[in-house]
Amino acid sequence: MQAQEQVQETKYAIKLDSTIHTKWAPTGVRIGLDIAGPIYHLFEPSISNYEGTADIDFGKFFGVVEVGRGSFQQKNTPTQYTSSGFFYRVGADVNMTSKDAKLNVLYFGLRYATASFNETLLGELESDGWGTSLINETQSKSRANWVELNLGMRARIYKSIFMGYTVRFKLLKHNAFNDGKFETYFVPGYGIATNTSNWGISYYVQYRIEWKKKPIPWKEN
Amino acid sequence: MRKNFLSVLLILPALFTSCNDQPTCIPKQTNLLKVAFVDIIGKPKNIILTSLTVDNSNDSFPVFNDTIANVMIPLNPLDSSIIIRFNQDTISNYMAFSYTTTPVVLHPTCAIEMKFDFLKMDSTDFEDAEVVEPAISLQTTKNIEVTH
Repeated sequence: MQAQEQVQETKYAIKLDSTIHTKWAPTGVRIGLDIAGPIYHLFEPSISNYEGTADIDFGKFFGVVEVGRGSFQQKNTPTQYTSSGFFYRVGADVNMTSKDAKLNVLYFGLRYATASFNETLLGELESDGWGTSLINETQSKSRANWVELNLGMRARIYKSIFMGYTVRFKLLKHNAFNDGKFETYFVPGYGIATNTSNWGISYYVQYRIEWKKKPIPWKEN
Repeated sequence: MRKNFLSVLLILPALFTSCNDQPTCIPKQTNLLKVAFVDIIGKPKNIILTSLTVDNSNDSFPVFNDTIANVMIPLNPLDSSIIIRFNQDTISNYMAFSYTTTPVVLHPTCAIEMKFDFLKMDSTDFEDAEVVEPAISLQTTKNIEVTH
């Protein structure tokens, strides 16, 4: 007990006490890449998703930016549809383990996401009374927005390297812009556009660049 | 604490297995415009049509319904307007409509469907005819009501 009270700092954190007045000042940024998208692509070649993330700490909160590129391409089917473009998300996380001296994180968060993408549609249309018609359309600069509720964790694996995942519940999608030539089927970053909500998961490998030790309310592990 | 983190880190994502919906390709859209003939108090009224024709089309369209108080007319998916002529023994009436079309992908393994919407009557020589439902859908029982 006496030994614990003597500990004032570790390699990554410093004990928060009355002498520290900058507990909200950022102490580092984490940047990383998602590995779930490329792995999923191996099992579902029609969908690809590559994204990166960066976050910065403000006390027990994190400001987060995520940027990615996604596509859907299915060409050996009766309807040949493609969609590809970029998306980004901005938001904040609340760290529920803010007393962890190794800065492991269990969090929930909120994101606002926007995607900008191009689409093509080629296929046959059967109509009562009018027979078969060919549809061949392109839509450029389609846009969609949505909101995400996130839950996730990050664990320090080795020195400044973190790994962890984000489980995403995506909802409130709305198309901000569309040429109107056909209905969007796939939104990069969101998934199937006709679904009112979608689930997703990202698995990140991150590197934390820290410029000072984080002051935390102490709790020994 | 760290071991707990690592355990959860490794195990939990495995629980999120993919649950992709299997496409069923059951049509959700229709191009059949539903016209209902009613009498002055709103009850279905049978009429006798000798033919039903669409301008700019060589075909004479069959009446798709078995009761003559209701007819279903296929809209052209590659156009945004249509003029339909209801030919009876001695008289002929017409209706001119405009509408929007939007191709819809149900799933890439299914054929493209066309969504028809925003039906608007541009002109008619029926005495009393109105659009009661501007969206063309399988669930709609009538889009146009003609008091005859």
